[in-house]
Amino acid sequence: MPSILNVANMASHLRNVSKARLGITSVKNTKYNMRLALALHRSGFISNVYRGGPTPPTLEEMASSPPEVVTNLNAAQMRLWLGMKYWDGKPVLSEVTMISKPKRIMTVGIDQLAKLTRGFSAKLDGGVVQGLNLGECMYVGTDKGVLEAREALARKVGGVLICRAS
Amino acid sequence: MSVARPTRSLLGKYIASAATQSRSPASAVVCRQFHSSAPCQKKRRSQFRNVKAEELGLLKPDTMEKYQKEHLPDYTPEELELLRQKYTPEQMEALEAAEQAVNPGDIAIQGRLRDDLFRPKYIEDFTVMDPRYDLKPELKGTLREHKWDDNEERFEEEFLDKFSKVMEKGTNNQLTRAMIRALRRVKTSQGRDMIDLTEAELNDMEKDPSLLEKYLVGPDEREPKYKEKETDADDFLTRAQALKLDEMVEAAWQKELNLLSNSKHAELKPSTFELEEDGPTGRVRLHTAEAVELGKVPGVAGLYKTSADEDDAKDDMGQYTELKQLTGMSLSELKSIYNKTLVIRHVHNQTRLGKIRSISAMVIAGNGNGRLGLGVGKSTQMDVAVNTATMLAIRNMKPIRRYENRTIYGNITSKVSGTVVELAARPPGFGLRVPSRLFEMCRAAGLHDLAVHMPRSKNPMNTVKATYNALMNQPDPEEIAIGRGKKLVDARKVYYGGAVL
Repeated sequence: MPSILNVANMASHLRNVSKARLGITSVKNTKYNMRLALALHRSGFISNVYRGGPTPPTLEEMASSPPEVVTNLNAAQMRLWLGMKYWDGKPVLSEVTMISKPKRIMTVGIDQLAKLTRGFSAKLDGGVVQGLNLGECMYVGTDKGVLEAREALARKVGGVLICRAS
Repeated sequence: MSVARPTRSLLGKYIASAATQSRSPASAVVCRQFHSSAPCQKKRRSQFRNVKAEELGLLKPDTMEKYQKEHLPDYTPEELELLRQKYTPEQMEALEAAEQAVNPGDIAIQGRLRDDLFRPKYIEDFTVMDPRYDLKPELKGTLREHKWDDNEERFEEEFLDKFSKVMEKGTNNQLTRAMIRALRRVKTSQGRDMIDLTEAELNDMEKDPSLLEKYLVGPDEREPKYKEKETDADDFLTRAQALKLDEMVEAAWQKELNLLSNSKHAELKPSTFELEEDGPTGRVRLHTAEAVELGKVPGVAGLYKTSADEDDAKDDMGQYTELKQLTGMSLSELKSIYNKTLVIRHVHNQTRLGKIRSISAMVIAGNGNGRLGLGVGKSTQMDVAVNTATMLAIRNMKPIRRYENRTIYGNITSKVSGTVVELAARPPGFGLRVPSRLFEMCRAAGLHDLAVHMPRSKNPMNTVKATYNALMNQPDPEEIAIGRGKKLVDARKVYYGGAVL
């Protein structure tokens, strides 16, 4: 079970970045971060995910070139570069709030996940979780990677409720 | 301030610098600024480095030579030949001397040869007016006031007379132009130069047909000049040649006439210039933006009957007149708008003379079908405050977003001061389970299924304000989908062919 702390840091960083209207940002390169970033990318919240060195890549590089090769020399310097999206003067990803906390991990089963995705609140072990609102996405860490709540439900897997994004 | 003081201040710097050598620096006169802003510590330099022409390589001999060849070339032998045709030998000599006197290298360095987009097309051509540089010549003539003629018949007669004159002149001009074109065609098609008119003369004539008389028909001989060329004896036309030329001119003339009659512009119209000339102000109007006074124009008094506005009878106080203009709605529509006074506050302003009472009213207005407005009015009189607020509310009516014309999109939260209002969309048939003020708002806006939760302060005014904000700022699913690059489909509108309650 990986620590959720890095993901929590990423979530608050993304919130700050969208408030500052930045075009590109970087987060710590960890597997968990990368999986969440890819899940956000699948949902269309961020435009690009690119693993690279400490200097920011150009948007063309992020979109077209393969990620930089990780060796034991540069592994410590690697960052995850994320391209932010804005539409109509507003950020596409404006809110990323953690559901689980490092001190209180909340896991969800399939039946409760079904309730959550339909917009109803669900009572879990750690407490009550509000259901999904209009335009909201919830991310679940499963043994099949980090999935969006609806994806997880389609595959019939539960897991750790990581965060909700809108 | 004495006059001596600034002089001393001005010279202070130099006095001080001289003094420092001999005396102590403390006795130096303080140099004052002429302005009140803080003095600048050192001379301000441009933050950009000054790039010199030398560094750019513009002063190299080969670059200079190339530039001169390109922009200031010498006359070619052909050009010289053409110039010799135009100018006398003395003039040519002067021209060549002038060419030699000016060094093209000097022009390249010192002359400012413009290559920008807005450079004038000529260097110095004073024959043509350019409104960018040239002053307008003063016009002779004065503006006069038009006298309206009482006798309409006489006016019509005069106008027709003038008009027919203009038409006649126009036709003549057109025919003359056609003749000139015919002549030119014969001239260009003919190998031998049989017509004694140069190209320039023909051009001039086409521009101004009145020149025809001057060129073509001499004052003493009423015969066209084109037949003869009498300078040389051997250039006399034979009779056969003259006949042939006549024929050709006749043919070309006929052709032009045909063209004229076939073209769309066969119908002659007087130009605006000609029309203006006969207008009330005369030619002066063409050259000035200032319109002359029209004189006293007979008004329309008594021509129209004032129709009694049927709305006026119903709206005898005239409250709705302004609103009708602003919204463009009729009185019956305005009166049918649902409005409700939601908050009344008695406000007291405590002064040393006592309390000054006034009343503040908050009114909502809606058409019951997706439009909602909020207005606040204040007055010492209750009815005035309410009326003002109502009018403002009707003016402020804006469309709100409704899902299926019955509820809102998603759950919305809005906060004003300590009041938090949480609105939640509900399924069809749920009804309005909301506080009374919000019920009135929902009714005015045309919302039928809604749940509201107010966890904190229930201040009436803030409740209404927060709800109004929440209804105005609902999320748009279409926009969200576009932002994320997803396709959006409302499942309720897809399943069962959209036939869902």
